[in-house]
Amino acid sequence: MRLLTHNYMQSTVKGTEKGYPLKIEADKVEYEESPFDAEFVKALIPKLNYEILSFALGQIVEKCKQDIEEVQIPELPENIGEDLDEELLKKLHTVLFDLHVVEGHLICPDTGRRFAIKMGIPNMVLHADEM
Amino acid sequence: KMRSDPHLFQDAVRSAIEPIIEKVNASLDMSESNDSKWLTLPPEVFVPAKKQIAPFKHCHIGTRSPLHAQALIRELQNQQITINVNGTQIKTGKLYLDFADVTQRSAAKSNRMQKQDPSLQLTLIGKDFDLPGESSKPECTSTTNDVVVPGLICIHDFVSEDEEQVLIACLTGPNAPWAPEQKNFSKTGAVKRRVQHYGYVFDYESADVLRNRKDEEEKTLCPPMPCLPGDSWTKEMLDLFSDNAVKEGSGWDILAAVVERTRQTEFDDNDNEASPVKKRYPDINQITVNEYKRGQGIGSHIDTESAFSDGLISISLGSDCVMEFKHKDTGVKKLVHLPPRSLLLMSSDARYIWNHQIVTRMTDCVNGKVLPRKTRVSLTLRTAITLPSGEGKNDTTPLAKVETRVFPPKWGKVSESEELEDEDISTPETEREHVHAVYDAIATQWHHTRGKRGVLWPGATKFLKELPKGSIVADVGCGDGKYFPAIWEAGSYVIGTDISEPLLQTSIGACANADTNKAGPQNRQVSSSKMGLNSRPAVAVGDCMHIPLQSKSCDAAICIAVMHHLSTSSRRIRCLKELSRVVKKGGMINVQAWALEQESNSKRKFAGTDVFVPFNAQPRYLNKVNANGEKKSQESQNIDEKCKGVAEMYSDAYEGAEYDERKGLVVFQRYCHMYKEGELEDLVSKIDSLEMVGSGFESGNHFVILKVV
Repeated sequence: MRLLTHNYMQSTVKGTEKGYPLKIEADKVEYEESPFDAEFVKALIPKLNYEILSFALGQIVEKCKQDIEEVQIPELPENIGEDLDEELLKKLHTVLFDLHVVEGHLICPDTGRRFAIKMGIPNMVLHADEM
Repeated sequence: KMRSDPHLFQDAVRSAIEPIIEKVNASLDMSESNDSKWLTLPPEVFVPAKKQIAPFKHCHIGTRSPLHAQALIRELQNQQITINVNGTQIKTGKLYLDFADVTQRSAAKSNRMQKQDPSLQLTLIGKDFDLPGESSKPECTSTTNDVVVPGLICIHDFVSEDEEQVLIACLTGPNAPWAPEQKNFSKTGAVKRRVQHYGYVFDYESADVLRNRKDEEEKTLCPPMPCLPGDSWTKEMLDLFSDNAVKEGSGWDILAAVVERTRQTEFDDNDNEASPVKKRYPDINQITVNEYKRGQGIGSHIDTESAFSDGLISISLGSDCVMEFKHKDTGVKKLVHLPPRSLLLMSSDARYIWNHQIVTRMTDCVNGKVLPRKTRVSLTLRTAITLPSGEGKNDTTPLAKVETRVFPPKWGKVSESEELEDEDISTPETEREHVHAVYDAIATQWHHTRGKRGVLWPGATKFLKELPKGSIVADVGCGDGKYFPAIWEAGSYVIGTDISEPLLQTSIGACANADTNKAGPQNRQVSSSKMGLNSRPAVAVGDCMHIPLQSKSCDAAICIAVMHHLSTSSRRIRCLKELSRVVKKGGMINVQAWALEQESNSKRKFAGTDVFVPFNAQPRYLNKVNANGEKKSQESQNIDEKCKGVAEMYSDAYEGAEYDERKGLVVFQRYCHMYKEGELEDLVSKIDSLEMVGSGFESGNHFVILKVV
């Protein structure tokens, strides 16, 4: 699960107000380099909730530092404007596309319901009594 | 004495087949394990208790292994053999062998077989076992042509082929109201086959109709009979109505039309040639649907006199069968061939003094031709009558008709309003068993035979191409991610959700790289700049009733080949509402679902709006997960595997799967709702936040293009 995907996910458990943003408890993270496409990153940035992206990175950064040796985990600025230089775009690319939470949990901020992530796939299906 | 002792006869048959069994055993490799040793045990030979009256004409052979059964059929079918009965050599007539699965035979109740015994029970029907030298004739209707059963009339092609197809799809389909917990209606286990009752329950234990329409303990109301809208139907109107129902795929309407057609039919009275009277049965008020799987039958009986009036009607669908009539006093037999789509009337003598039965076997022999039986669905139409009154005669007044236009007819109280405003969106058992569990099981094969081929609907591809670059697209019910490459290549980012985790797993790194020589179908190729997305697609296990995405977060959504797996209209509406919730205002949604109307050149044709569509699964591809999503432990499998074929074992493990013995396949029944023209549009019109901007039909699918407003 990429942080880009996390940006769009929410919990739908009964009793949830917003179910967003989901907390991340990462047990295993991986880095996989992907081709850098500046235009694609530029196109995605305005659609993102940047604050939540920073929040998500904060949730997994320690785990990333432990598990990932290939690259230095980028630090993101508090805010970003319209003008994004190549260096920042590359950082954003790494955070959005190349960091993967492989094992762990997503946690509903309202109810505390834990959703398991296995092999990079979060399981968001509810039990009958949670609908 | 020799001929009157079944044990001597049994011993003689046992020794006669011994060499055949030994030959089979010699060919088996028994070195691997002791577990399978019991497969080599000799078969049991016995004359059924009821038939232990000399001279013996047939016996059952309970084999331990299908291999034994196959060898016996191969070696003995149509042969004459010599058996040694207590020292006397007796040459038999030609043997006729038939077989049935023990689980389908009432004989299985006897403790002769071990429960886990997968063997076939072999029935030797040697007509003249005890008459040396004379050749036997397998049972055959022509031999009873001269026997007349007064009051018995068979009308061929009473139901058309089209009607038959839609009726079977409906009555064996996902909405069929099989009797709930059948054991409640038959504590003795007399009825093994699946049955449905309409109008009034027939209770097998008391062999009587339940006039209060419900089982005493369960208080479950019997489903009403489907009826026609309004009355005064002429024959022409009925035919027209039924033709239309065939087109609409409405089996319940056809059932109603067939009942009315039967009520209106005038039967010639062959019982009374001197003063011919036409007979009619306008008061028919009860339907029992019986499903006879291959090898199933029904014991010899006369329908309870105090339960039903004269005139019992049986309509055969799906298979031939031979019904045997036997005079209750003289024992004279008459065999009647019932072709599919025929109607059989049992009236007067045929109803009251002749027993009828369907012998439990896999084939029938009609005038010398062997007809293999298939699954036969029979409609029994009867007129249930008022309780016997005290000591006097029965009150033969027909019970009131209980009918409905609310389809499917259901057990229990049903709301009178046709539009059920049911808000319940929880997952029905039908979908759990016949959609979710099926896709979990077949994920690997599905991906190999469908998704991997990259056949996309051109309309959906066009929709995706037209989205602005950098769009976030929700692919709800994405399966193995068939549309992902098209979305990435269009410059968008896709988040796929699906209820089936095994299917999602097949989406990972699934596509070929166009830049290498590893050429796959064009639609499954991704350019090198998108390989990063392909190696780990963004997917989450999620239910389309609760899409795990934020409201108003996505730029567009697609939902392709998903809605036809939703079994109630409240769930279909909920799915559309969820799609509209996760998409931003102004964003577009493309929904496609299977159409009832298929192109004439299509190999698919759907005989109803709610049907089971089979998926033939090869056992080697099946995911080892049962319906509850639990992995089967390796240990428990090993024991099973020794005794059973792998395919057979899997079919046991999954609800809703059947084992195709001949092809070695596991056949899954997928629940599908086929959308009629305009149906998607109707659903959309119920949701304020959706505006329809386009709709159409493409490759057997209806689609709608929606805008969130």
